Amino acid sequence: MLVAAIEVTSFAAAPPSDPPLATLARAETAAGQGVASYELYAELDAETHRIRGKGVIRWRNASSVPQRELWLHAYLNAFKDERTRLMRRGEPDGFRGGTSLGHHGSLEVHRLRARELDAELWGGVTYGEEDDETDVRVPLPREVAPGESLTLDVEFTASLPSVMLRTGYAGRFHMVAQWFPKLARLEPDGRWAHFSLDRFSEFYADFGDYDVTIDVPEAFLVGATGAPVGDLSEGGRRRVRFIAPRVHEFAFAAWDGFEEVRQLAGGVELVALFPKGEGEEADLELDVATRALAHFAERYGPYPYRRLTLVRPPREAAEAGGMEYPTLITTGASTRFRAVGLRSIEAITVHELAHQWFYGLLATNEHRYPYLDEGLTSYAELEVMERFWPGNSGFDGFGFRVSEEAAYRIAAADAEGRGRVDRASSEFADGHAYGGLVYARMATTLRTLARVYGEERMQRALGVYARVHRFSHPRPMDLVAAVKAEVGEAAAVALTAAVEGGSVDVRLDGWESHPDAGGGFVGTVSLRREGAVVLPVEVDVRSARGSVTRLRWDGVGEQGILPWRGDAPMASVLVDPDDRILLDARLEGRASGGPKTTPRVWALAACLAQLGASIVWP
Amino acid sequence: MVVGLAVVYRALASGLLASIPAVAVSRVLGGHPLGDAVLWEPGGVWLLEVVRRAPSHAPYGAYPLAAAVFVSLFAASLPLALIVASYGSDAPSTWTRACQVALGVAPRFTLLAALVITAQTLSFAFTTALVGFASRPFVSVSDERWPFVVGAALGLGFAFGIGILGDLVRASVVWRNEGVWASLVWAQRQARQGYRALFVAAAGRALLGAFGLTVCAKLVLALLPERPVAAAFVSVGCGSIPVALRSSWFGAVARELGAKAVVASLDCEQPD
Ligand SMILES: [Zn+2]
Repeated sequence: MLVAAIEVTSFAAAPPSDPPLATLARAETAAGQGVASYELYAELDAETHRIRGKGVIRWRNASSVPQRELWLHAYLNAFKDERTRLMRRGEPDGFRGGTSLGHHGSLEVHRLRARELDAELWGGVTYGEEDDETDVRVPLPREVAPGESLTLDVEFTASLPSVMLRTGYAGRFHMVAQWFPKLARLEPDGRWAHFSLDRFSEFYADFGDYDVTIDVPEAFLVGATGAPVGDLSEGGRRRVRFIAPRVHEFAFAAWDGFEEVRQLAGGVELVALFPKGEGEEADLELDVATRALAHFAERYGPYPYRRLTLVRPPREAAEAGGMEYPTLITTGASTRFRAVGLRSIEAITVHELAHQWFYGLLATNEHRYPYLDEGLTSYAELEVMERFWPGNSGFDGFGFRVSEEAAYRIAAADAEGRGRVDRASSEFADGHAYGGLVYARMATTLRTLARVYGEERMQRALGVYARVHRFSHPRPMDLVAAVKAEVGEAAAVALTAAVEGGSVDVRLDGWESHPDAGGGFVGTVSLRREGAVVLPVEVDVRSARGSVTRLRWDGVGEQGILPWRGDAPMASVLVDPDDRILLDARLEGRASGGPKTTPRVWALAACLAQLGASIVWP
Repeated sequence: MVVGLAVVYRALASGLLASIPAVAVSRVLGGHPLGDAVLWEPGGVWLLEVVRRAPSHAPYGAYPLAAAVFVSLFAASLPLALIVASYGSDAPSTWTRACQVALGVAPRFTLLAALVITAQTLSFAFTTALVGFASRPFVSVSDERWPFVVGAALGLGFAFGIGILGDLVRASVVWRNEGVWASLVWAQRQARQGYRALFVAAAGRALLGAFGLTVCAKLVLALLPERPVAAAFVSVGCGSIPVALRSSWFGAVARELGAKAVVASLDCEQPD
């Protein structure tokens, strides 16, 4: 379905000197809650892959402490040479950023003038770390008091690298992210949360209003954060003005190879930009996004913006795929995976969409607490995937059905013992540890709590957390508090233990039964639990007559001895029969008394061997 | 008789091979009350756990396994050699003689089997990768499956050709009692002269075999969840299809080359 809903309103054709923000932005940011707002004009040279930018940054000291400095992030400088913090880390193992850098990138600031201070500030800058110009300290000539605002006139040139990590160009495709000098976030206590860009680090910033005019060659289509309020073609160039109220980042994609499809989803306009010939994938993404948007709105509060843009980068720029920005996500994965029963396209779309809440609206410090956005997003992804494709959300083929949850469990199990989940992104040794702990282990922890303590209570906890802290910057203690309030003290303690690197291993220690005086049978099941994460455990005991009794142990302590009474001798025992404790990395030793042989496995293996024999043997 | 022997060998060897995953899987499952049915449950928590943990529970180590593969190649060459020998112009008349012939060529057959499989794998992988790489500038992501399909089809074609050549070499080893290299020279000359008839004979049987095995696979998959033992028996029974077709293929080779071989040798004797 195509919906043409662009209203062409007053258009700033020239670089904005001080244009009024569109009424939309004003209305949606009543009470001027924005702390860091940007009005920028960006002119893309598609041949040199440079962006000439100029505009105004408005910043308010929202902390309680007077400030003698600003911290700015110039993340494109991470691609400046081989000595930057990012490039020093080398090629990562098991995470994005595997391509080598063909062309360097940089962010050069020509002007940074504070109107209120009547001072040019860029001359005095220093950097947070040697050989790395991504983290910039800007000294101020005088203190800026709490509540006081600064208006900064800025001019800069952004040179895009060949696409790497999440930003850059490939041919004429441009994914333009981290492209302007951006204020770090000033915490309420007056400390700047600033950091050099690290291999596994994402971002952190204050909310504000963005008004960005993007100037590209006329044939280019542009997808950006926010919604367009004006679109003018003139003299071979095209200028599109985007307004994005109450967001904390602005990215855009521009390419003359894009095709576009739009669709309305519950009052939100979905726009899919995709390479020619990939309409099938784009349709799938739009369909999944439409359904997931409704789900997330119900769970975590409504999507508060009027547009969501889905950018599907071309294959040469796959590195730019699978990334989230406010109101803009990039997707990916090939149809090749669909042929073998994997739902990668769906999972990536759902994951990036979930980030609109756990990153977009709940703007956590992604550098210091990467598990707060990636872990919760992965949890939300699992929830939706399982709801849409119960029991086979990850894979469905050859008679086997695998949920994404089970796949995440494996990654979480492999990451056990690799240390704390709760640590800064710069402290992960490699991509496997980062992905395994931050995504898989955190999501599996939350799924375990939901399965053990009840899906509804967990939904309530995260629903409250997401609603209470929307448009703010929650911390781990806010999440723990929500879990404590809605799920309970024990769940909150288990969550804390798990993010501190704790594990859980429950297994069967022994079982016995004997006739009692009354003609029935009595016995005991003895369980063992190891690891710092304490969780209640269920046990199913099957008697020789086939009746099943469910026993429960609170999991406190290392050993639990559970009494049992039945109509016949115990025949078999199964610990955690509903696989609630997904965080347990070892399922061995959980069962006893069942059939010793595995006829189907023998048969399947023999059949496969026969098939193989047709190739290898006569 | 010889075909029956080959089928029995396959059944025994595949059973032995099957024991490796079966033992490993049952060790991970422990005594799960549902047995291996838990592997087919939606969600696949135990299935993935078994995939993850089974390798560390394999009943044999890597070296014994490699040795077993080698031994199976050697052992498999015996019935194959018997099949080939039975179509020769002086086919062994007694079992003792037949076994002598089979044992005599078994080392060369083992070497050949390893060479043929390696060459087939390499050519398949190389062709698939090459086509995929060469097509990159011309196709978009959504068309990626086509380069793969085309590459795989080409690769299969090459592997098929290598298989035919390998069998001609085997025929030469048994019928002419020559070494592998001399047989290869002979085989490629035969293949060039009679490629059309040989290809038709091989492709027809390959198609027939693929059809038969597909039907078998469907039958086996349908039987597997409820009647695993029956499925195993059916699969062993189905093993007779490729063996019988392979046997009849060597018959066709013998018929085709019986005449050609003479012509070829005459050609060689006439200087030009
Ligand atoms: Zn993510």
